[in-house]
Order: sequence, then C-alpha cells, then structure tokens
Amino acid sequence: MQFLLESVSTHIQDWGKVWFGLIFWGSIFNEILLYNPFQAFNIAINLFPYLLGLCFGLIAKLRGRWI
Amino acid sequence: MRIDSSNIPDKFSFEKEKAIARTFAQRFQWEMMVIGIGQAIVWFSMWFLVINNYISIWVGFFVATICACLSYLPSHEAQHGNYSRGNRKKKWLDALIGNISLITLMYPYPIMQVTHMKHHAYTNDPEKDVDYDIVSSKNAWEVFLATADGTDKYQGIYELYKDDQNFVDKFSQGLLISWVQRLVQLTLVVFFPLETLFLWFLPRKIGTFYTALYFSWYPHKGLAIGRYKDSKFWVNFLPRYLTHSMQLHFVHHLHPNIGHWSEPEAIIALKPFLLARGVPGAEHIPDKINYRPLIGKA
Repeated sequence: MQFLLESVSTHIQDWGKVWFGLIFWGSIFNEILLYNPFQAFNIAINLFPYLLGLCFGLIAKLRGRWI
Repeated sequence: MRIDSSNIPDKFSFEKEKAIARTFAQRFQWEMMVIGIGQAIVWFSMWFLVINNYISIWVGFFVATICACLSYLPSHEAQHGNYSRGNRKKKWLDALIGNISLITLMYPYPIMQVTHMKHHAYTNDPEKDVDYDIVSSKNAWEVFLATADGTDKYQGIYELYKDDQNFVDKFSQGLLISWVQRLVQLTLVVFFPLETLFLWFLPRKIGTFYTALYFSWYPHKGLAIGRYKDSKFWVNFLPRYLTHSMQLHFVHHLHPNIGHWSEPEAIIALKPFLLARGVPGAEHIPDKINYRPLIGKA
C-alpha cells in the first residue's frame, strides 16, 4: 500500500502538470473552440485544443512552475 | 517556547497575559461555523444554478469568488481546535468544518492543519516556516507567484518534516484527499469546462491569493523571529471583516485559542501587555471598539 501511495505521489509530482495541461486546459480550449464558427467536425481541429493544453503542461513541467 | 521577561514588570507577566487571553478562548465560534458551512453550501448551489441556466456563469463566478475568499478562516479555527475546545467528543466538529470549508479552495484539511502548526512553531524562520516563500515576498505580485502553483511547495515541506511521525500521518491523509479533489476537478472539467473554470479554478486562485496576501504575507512581512516580534497589528480603512480580520493576526499568533470573533475584545484587554512587550504596531491599537466586528479609533 505504501509503495502504491509513493508511486502515485511520485507520478503526480513528475507528471501532474502535463496531465493537468492535457485534460484541464485541453478541455477549456476545446470548449472555447466550439464557439468558433469555422470549427467543423474535423479530427485535426478537435485535437488541437488538447495538444495546446498538453504543450502548456509540458512547458510548465520543464519550467517547474506555471507562471 | 522560552520567553524573555527580564525587563517586563510583574503586572505584565506572561502568566497574567495568558489568564486574560484564556477568558476570550471559551466561547463557541458559531459565526465561523456558519460562514464555513454556509459558503460551501452557497458554492455548491452555484453549480446547480449555473449548469441549469438559472443564473449566468458570471454571477456564479462572482459569488463563487466571494465563497473562496471566505473559506479559509473557518477551517483555520478548526485547525486550532477552536470548535471542540479540547472536548474530545466534539473533535468531529473540527474535522467536519475544517474539511467542508476548504472544498472551495481545494486544499486538504489534514495537510493545512499540520503545516499551519509548523508555521506557528517557526514563524518567519527562513529554513522552517512553511509560509516563508510568501512571507519573504517583496510585493503583492511575488505573493501571487508564490501562490500560483497551488500545492507544489508541499512536497518540499514534507521532506523537511518527514521525521515527525504525526506530521507524516496527517500529510498522508491529506494527500489522499488532495488526489480525490484533483480527480473530481479533472472529471468535472471534461463535462463542464467553463463551469469548472469559473466556479472552481479561478475563484480558488483568487481566494488563495487574497488569503495569502492578508493572512500569510502582510502580518509577518519584514518582521523578525520571536513570540512578540513576528506579527504586527495594522490598520486600514476597510472594516475588519472585509480584510479577513488580519489586522488582528498578531494576537492569534500570541494566543491561537482565542476565537476569531473574540479577537477585537481580546486586543483591547491585552493592549497594556502588548505595549509592554513592544509588539509591532501595538501603539495603534484603539482603546475601545465601536462595534464588535469592526475596529475603529475610540
């Protein structure tokens, strides 16, 4: 149990920002993009907000902080 | 804690100061309980009202931000056991209010409790004060930067106190709560993206910054280490309640068991002691209060 807790904790510590960028900011950007009149059911466009969120998360991970 | 009283007249002794302070550490802080539970209920109701389009998301954002700004202090009273007042049968009340009140800010109560006790033990100590990143900020922007990354700093704090078993136990409990909170937020954002942003994420950031500014930074900014030196009394034009009562934070550091809503009366009664000890800003303490929740010049 202790090992599991430590593994999850380490993973969140190392990759938490990346997951947060992908899921949280990706979902926010995706929602904002739905207001774009040019947005169609195009998989490339639909993936874009999540990729953007992922990039934000990766940058935050590399910098060690969001701002 | 050892207190140097060599230059203090007997009539201002620590024992006498403590006896007076104790008289303000008896009353049940029902106001804080109402604020803590109340803001959480209002905050939860915002989700229902916004998602079902009864109110706009902007109204929800405004109300949720006020809730977030009100959410820390009721939990803070619980962290000091000021609801149970040492009665083991009422300990559940501390845990209940402490946990529920912090949902809005998305902080785990057990971690807040143990780290806050360390803050009291090592206030303004660059090595050991868990809030030193905020205390040492030069301006409000640096406070914002220090709070922007949420719970990231707590891993370093864990490393600092990992030999303290009570600290580790509470920290582990809090870690589980923190994971649940993160999971809930990441689930909510998939289904309700803008609602999660405007009802939780942004209010939480604003509430954390506001609390850090008035609670962690300004009362301790630029002060030394020591019981009567590490916190100051200060005044501004705003009513006490609007500034989170942080003008009175110094008396909380001296006597944490004084209830938050009893602090104005306490500083009036303790004023001669505080002046004798040279507490920063004590000379500005009024001789009487004009209305209980407010501090005004006599």
